[in-house]
Amino acid sequence: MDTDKLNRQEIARYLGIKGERPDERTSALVEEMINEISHLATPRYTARVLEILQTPEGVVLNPGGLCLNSAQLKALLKHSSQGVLFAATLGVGVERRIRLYGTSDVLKSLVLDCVASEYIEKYCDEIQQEFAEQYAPKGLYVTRRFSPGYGDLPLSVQADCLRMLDAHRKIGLGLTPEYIMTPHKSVTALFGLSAREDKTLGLPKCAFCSMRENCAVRKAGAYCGR
Amino acid sequence: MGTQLQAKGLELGHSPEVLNITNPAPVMEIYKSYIQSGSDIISACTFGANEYKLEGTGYSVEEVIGAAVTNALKACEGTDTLVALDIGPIGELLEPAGTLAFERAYEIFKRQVVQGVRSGAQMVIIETMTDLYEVKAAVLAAKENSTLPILCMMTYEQSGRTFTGCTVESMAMTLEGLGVDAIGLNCSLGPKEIFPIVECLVAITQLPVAVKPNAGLPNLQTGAYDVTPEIFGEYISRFADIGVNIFGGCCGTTPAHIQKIREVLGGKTPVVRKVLPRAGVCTPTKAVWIDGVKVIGERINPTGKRLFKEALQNHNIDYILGQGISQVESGADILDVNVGLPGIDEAAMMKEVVKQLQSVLDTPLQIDSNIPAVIEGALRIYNGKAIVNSVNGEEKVLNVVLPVVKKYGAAVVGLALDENGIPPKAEERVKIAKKILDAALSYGIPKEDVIIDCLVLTASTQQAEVVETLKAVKLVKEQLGLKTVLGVSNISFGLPQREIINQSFLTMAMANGLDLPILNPGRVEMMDAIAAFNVLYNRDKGAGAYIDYCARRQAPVVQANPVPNAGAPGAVTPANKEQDIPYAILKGLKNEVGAQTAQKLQTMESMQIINDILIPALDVVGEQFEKGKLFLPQLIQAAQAAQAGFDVIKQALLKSAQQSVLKGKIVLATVKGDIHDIGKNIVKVILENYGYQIFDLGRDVPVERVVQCAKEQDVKLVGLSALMTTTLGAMEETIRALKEQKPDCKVVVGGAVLTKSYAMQIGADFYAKDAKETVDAAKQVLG
Repeated sequence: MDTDKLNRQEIARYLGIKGERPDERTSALVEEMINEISHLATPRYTARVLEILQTPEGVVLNPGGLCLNSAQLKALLKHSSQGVLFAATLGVGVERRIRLYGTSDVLKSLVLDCVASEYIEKYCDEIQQEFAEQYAPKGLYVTRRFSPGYGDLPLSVQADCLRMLDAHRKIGLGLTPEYIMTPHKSVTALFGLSAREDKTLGLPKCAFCSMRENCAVRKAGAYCGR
Repeated sequence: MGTQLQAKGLELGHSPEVLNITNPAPVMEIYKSYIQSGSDIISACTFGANEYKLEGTGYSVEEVIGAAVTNALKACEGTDTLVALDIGPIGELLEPAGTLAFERAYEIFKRQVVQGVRSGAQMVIIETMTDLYEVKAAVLAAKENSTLPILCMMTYEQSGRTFTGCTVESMAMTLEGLGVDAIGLNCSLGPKEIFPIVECLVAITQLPVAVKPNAGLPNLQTGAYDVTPEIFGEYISRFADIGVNIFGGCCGTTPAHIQKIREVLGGKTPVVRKVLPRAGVCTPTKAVWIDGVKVIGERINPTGKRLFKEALQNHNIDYILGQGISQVESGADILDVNVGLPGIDEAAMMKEVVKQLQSVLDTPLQIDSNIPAVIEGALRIYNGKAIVNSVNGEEKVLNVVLPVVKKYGAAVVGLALDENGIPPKAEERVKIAKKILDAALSYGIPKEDVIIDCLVLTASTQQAEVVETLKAVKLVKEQLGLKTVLGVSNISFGLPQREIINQSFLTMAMANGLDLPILNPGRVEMMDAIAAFNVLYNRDKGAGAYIDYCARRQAPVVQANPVPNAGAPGAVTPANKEQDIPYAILKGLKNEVGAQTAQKLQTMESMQIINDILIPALDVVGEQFEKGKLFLPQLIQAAQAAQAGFDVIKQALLKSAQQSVLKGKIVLATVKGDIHDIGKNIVKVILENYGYQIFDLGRDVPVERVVQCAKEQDVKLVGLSALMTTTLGAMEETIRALKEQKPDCKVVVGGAVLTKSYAMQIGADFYAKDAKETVDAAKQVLG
C-alpha cells in the first residue's frame, strides 16, 4: 500500500490528540512508525460474493444460510441482492513489533498500534474499491461495510463469518473464545452490491467504525466526522 | 477431501468431519476413488476433527475420528493402501499471538492421536500448518501417544514464509530435531508457485520430502482451481527430479490428478539427495547457521548482578526482557538464558522467561541450567531449535540430560570437565570432549549438534593454563570436527582494564577455531574484534559487513529517539537551575534529565529529588494533560524522560547499597481472555515514575494469578484493564475474587469499553479513564 494514503490526522486522533496537529516530535514518530509498518505489514484478504436474502429473521447469506439478525444491517442492504463478506488482516509481523515495543518503548507501541489501525482501515477501503470497480459495469454500487460487533449486530457472529470464509486457512486469521481476532489488526465485514447508490444508507456513523470500542472521541460524546 | 465434498454439492459450513457419521456414503466414495486412482496413503476425513472445531456439532472427537478412520479402513480393505490420521490446525492461534496455551494445544492434539491409534490409523499426517509452535504441539502429541510414522507438512506463501513468518529452514531444523519421519509442504499454492520453496527444502533436509500442492491458485471470485492433471503431472516429474519422495494433491486436485502422479512416477527411479549436515539453531522466523563466529549474549544471568537478582526476586520480567532486547540490538546472534537463583522456582521462571523472550524476539536461545527438569521444561515449550548449556563428561549427567536433548532436538554444549574437575592439559580436555561426543552419538544426537566448551580459566590465577584452553579449542576442531564455545570474559577476572585482556583473548581464541564466544555484546571492543577477525580471515568477503559495522559503530549512541526540535540542551536557562529538570521532563528530554539528576545527587538526597523535583514535574505534565494542553504521546515522553532520572538514582543507590526508593506496590494485569495491553503498559510506565513498584502480570492473566500475587506481595492496590465487552466478565470475576481473598486491597480499573458506573457496578473501587487518573487513585491509596 502507498503509505501516503494513510490519513495522518486520523492517526493523531487515534493517539488522543485533539485540535489541529500533533507536536513535531510526535509527528516525526508517526512517520517513523509508518515507515516501519510498510516493511512489517503483510496485508491479505479473502472474500466471498454471496446472495443476500432479506427474511423476517434477518439477513440471510447464501450459500451457507448464515442468518445475521440486525435491523441496521438490513437497512444498509436494502437494495442489495448480493453482498461481499470479507476478512482482512495485516499479519503477525505488525503485532510482533507492537509487542516488542510494549516492552522496550511503550510510546512506540502506542503509535505503531494507531498507525496499524489506520492502515487496516485504508486496506479495507482498497478492497472495497476493487469490488466497486468490478461491479460498476453491472450497475452495482458498494455500500459501506458493516462488521460483527457494530451497532445491533452481535460480535458473536464473528465465528460464523470466519468459518464461512475459511479465514484461518486462507489468510491465517484466528479467533479467541472472547471473539478477539488474532492477529489483532484484522477486520471482517460485509458490504452490499447495491442497485442504488445511497451513501446515507444505514445508520449512525460510529456504528460503522472499527475504532468504535476504543474511540476517545465517541466516548466524549462527539463524532469524528469520518 | 474438502473440494471433493463441495463437488458433490455439500456446503462445508460447520464441520465436514461429522459427515463421517451423518452421511458417510459420499465420504466413502471419495476414499474409494482415490484408492482406485493409485494412492498409497489416504487421509481419513479427520482434518478438523478437534475439540475446538467440533464444538457445537453434538459429536465428540472420539466419535468423529472413530467413524472416519473405520470408514477409511473399510474402503481400503483388500488393497495395500494405508490410512492416515489427518490432523489440521486447531483453528485458534497459539500464544503469544493468540491466547491458546501450548500445553492446551498439546492436549487437543493428544485426544485426536489417541483415538486415531485406537481406531487403527496406520500413520499420522500433520498438515496445512502455518505455526511452527502448533506443529510442535501436534508432533509431541503424536510421538508421545503413538508409535506411528509421522509426516508433517506446512503451508507456505510465495514469499517462502508461512502466515506466521516461519521459514523453510526453521521448519526443517525443528522437525528433524523432533524426529518426524518426513516433512514437506502442502496447500496454499499451486505446483508452479510451490516449486522454488520445495527446491529450498530439498537442499537442506536429510528427511524424505513430501509435496502436496493445490491445483493452482484459486480464482478469488469463484474459488475455482485451474491446473489440469496434465500440467500437474509435468510438475510432479520436476519435483521427482529434484529429489522429492512423497507426492499428493491438496485443494482442487481430483482422483485424475492422483492418477497422473502414478503414471508420471511409474517410469522414474527415486533420486537420492546428498545433503551435507550443517550446524544451526533457530526460532520459527530466524535460522542461525553456525558457519562462522556467532555471538552468544551472556547478560541474562544473575551471577554478580544485583539488579538482575532483584528482578528475578520481584518477578520483573520486563527487566529481563530488556537485557535480551539490548543485547540483540548490539549484535547478539543467540541469547544465553540463566535464571538460577536460590529461593526462586527456577523451572517455572525459566519457562516464563523463555516464553516471554520468544514473544518479543526472534533470536534463538541457549537454555543455561544444570538441572535436568529445568532444561526439559524449557525445551518442551521452546519454539524452534535451542542449545542446552550444558552437560559435562560425567556419566550420570550425560545419561540424564542427553536423552532430553535428543527428544526435543536441541544442540548441546559439553564442558570439557568431569568428576575430577577441569584437566590442566589440553589433550585431557579433548579426551573428555570425545567422550561427550560418543555419548551424544549413542543417543542419536548428530555430531553437528554437539558443541564443546574447552573452559576459560582466569589468567590472574591460572596463567599457565590459558594457552591450554586455546590449544584445546584447536584440537577439538581438528581432531573431532566439532563446534566450540567459550565464556570469554572469565579470562580477565581480577585484572585491571579487563577489556584489554578480553579483546586479545577473544581474537586468539577465534584464530584457534572458536565458533561461539559467550560475551556481552554491549562491549564495543569485543564486537570490534569479531568484525576485524572476519575480515582478516577472509570470511567477510570484500569487507562489506565490516564497512556496515563501522558505519553503525560511528553513529552517535543516543538513548532512544532522536529529538527533532524539542529544545536543545542550550534551551535550558542556566539562570533558572531549579527549573532544569522539570523543563526537561516536560519536553521529554531523557538524556538531559539523566545528566541533571546525576548532578543533583551530589547535593540532594535521592528521596528529596524524587519528591521535590521529579514527581512535581510529572504532576505538572499530568495537569496539562488533563486540561487538554498536552496529549498522551507527550505524557508518555515525559514519563520516559523522568525514567532516566529514576534510573540514575537507582544506580547510585545500588552503589551505596541502600534500599530501593519505593512508594508502594501495585499489581497490574490485563484480565483473562484479553490481549490488548497497550493501555496497561502506558499506565505502568507512568506509575513507575511516580515511584511505585509495579508487578506487571501481563495480559490474559487468570483470576488466581492476580489474587496470588496480590496476597504474596501484600499489595494495597491492583489495577485491571479490559478492552472488550466480552472480557468484562473476567474483570468482574477478578475483582470478586480479590475482594473475597484480599479484602484490604483496592482495585482500579480502566479500558475503552468501561464507564464509571459500570466499574462501580462490578465492584471496582476506582475507575480511571486514563493513565493520569490511575496515578490519582494510586496517590489516594498509597500516598
